[in-house]
Amino acid sequence: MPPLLEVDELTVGFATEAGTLVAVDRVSFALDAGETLGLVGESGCGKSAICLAALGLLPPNGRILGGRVLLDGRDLVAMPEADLDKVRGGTAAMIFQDPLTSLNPVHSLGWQIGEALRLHRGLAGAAADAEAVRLLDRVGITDPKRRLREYPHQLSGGMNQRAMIAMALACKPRLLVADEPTTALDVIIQAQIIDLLVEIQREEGLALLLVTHDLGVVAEMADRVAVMYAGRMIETATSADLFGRHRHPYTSGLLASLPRVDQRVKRLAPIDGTVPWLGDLPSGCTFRPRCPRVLASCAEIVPVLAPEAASHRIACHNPVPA
Amino acid sequence: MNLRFVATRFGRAVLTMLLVVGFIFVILRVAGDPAQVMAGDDAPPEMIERYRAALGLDRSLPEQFVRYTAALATGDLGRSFKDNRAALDVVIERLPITLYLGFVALAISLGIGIPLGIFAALKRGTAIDRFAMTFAVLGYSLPNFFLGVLLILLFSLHLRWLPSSGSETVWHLIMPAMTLGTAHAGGIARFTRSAMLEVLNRNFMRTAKAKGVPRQRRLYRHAFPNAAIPVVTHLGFRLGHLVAGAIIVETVFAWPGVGRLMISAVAARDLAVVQALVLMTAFAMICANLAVDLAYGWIDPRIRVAGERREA
Ligand SMILES: Nc1ncnc2c1ncn2[C@@H]1O[C@H](COP(=O)(O)OP(=O)(O)O)[C@@H](O)[C@H]1O
Ligand SMILES: [Mg+2]
Repeated sequence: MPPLLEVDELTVGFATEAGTLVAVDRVSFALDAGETLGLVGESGCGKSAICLAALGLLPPNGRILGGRVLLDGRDLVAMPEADLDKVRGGTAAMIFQDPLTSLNPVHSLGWQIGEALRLHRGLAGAAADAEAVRLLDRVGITDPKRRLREYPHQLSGGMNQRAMIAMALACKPRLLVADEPTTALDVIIQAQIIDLLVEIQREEGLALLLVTHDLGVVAEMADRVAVMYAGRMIETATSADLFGRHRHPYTSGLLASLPRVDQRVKRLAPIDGTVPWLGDLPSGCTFRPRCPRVLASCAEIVPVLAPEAASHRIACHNPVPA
Repeated sequence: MNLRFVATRFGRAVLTMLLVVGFIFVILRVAGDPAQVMAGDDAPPEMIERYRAALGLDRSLPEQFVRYTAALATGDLGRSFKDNRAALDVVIERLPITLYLGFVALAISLGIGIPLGIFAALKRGTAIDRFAMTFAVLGYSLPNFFLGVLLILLFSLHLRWLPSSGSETVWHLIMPAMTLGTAHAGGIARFTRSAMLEVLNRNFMRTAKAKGVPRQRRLYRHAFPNAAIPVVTHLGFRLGHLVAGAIIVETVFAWPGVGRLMISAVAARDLAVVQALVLMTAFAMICANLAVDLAYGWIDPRIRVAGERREA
């Protein structure tokens, strides 16, 4: 059976004053029902761009320059907006980093969840309210009947993220894209939201694309991990392999910055030097200027991920010995 | 809407009105001797004294203030010495026709300005956007009297389609209302455009899209109610300009409303009428701002519903 989500050679560019910046460069991955893929990498490496491009949510200056995004075998990149509106919030739902600004401040939670129910499931009135109450209860919001009439500004960040999750679940999606769902929350709330996502993912059998720069979260939740650097995927493996037998020097650096794998860190600054600007990427391997294992050939030949066959793939000319 | 919200806004309006009354009382006594002003520069001293006694200006200031506010409270704003009637009556009889002009002009400015602003925002950067914004700049930068005179030249003198002065029929209303309305339509269009553009970039618009809300509905149910919040606030500021504009437009088109009364009362030094006009204008502005405040709270739940945040 083909995977639920298949991202194939996806390339995303942003039009800027400095010309078109390629923020995602030929990234491919697949995701099965019931599976969690963790997408990690430093801020600015293109994680959000992948998620947004996959669901047709790029800002006006963003464009998909190439590749396909197959959901259930249908290519979302080529799909007309009207059909995409049925897929988004239907088969595929997304939650975002900052729950407060991601909810509409002038509409109550009940209104916002009800809208999704009406658009995708044709529910209205009392039936929609009852379902919204059930959903709020499902994501652990107490006193859901009253919350229905409340507005985002009346709720805490954690509550709002729960409401976002309820809204995303409203139409029984099969794919949930979560773009740093806990980054904006305090640590204790983060853990609660992660627990909730784990529970929901298991119970509903969702395919979960989880973006985070928190390796602790990845270790806890993901079946497989993909590591990004400056728009390219540089290593992908099962969680166990990645944490146990990582090969890419960048991944090594990332993991070395963690005193313990299960400890969460706010921000990753693992390796000397900084992420290059997309408008002026080094030739060959873009990680080369920061790499402790750099070879002469790194400047000439762009390393590519080995073919799909193996479950552990790396894009490196001189990987860390296994 | 909760009662406390309405009550505080209402209380604030009453307080503002009291401040205005106090301010006018002080100004009238600081800016010169009202008796002298009313009697004229070359009046004999005994005549000025008579005026002073008649106006109560010979009493102590606190006593004057108490008598002044008490009189105001009963609707006694003094007498117009020009036509020897209650100043309030003189003003009130002119009020409906000005309100008529004002409301039609406001309707025109909203009816043109808001759709134009939304449209320009959606077509941002295109020829349509530039055309709309050129029109908007023209609308508010052409002085009212100039546009008014142009319209009279074209539609009254040249084409002979519309009457140039008076207020007898609906035809009379067209040019003054258009003059006053378009001036504000431009500003409202620009403001609506920028409010819309700002909202279109907000995160919740992306959420709506991610939820599968179709574009039209995203614009009208998600973006517009948010963009309306700054637009309504802006309208509150505009009302003052609307009043100022009305004075000019009424003069250009010989529209027999409060604006023209203001001009003639000032020219005739009819102090009681001028004072009544200032008070009425202030009163109208305060009421309008109260209405704007309440509308604002009605649209924006963050204002209406005091936020008690709870932890997850
Ligand atoms: N709207 C935009 N216009 C121009 N550049 C953008 C835009 N959005 C993102 N980028 C650039 O694309 C790159 C990837 O961004 P993003 O996907 O948001 O990174 P991440 O989510 O991994 O932190 C960054 O270099 C960022 O500066
Ligand atoms: Mg991001």
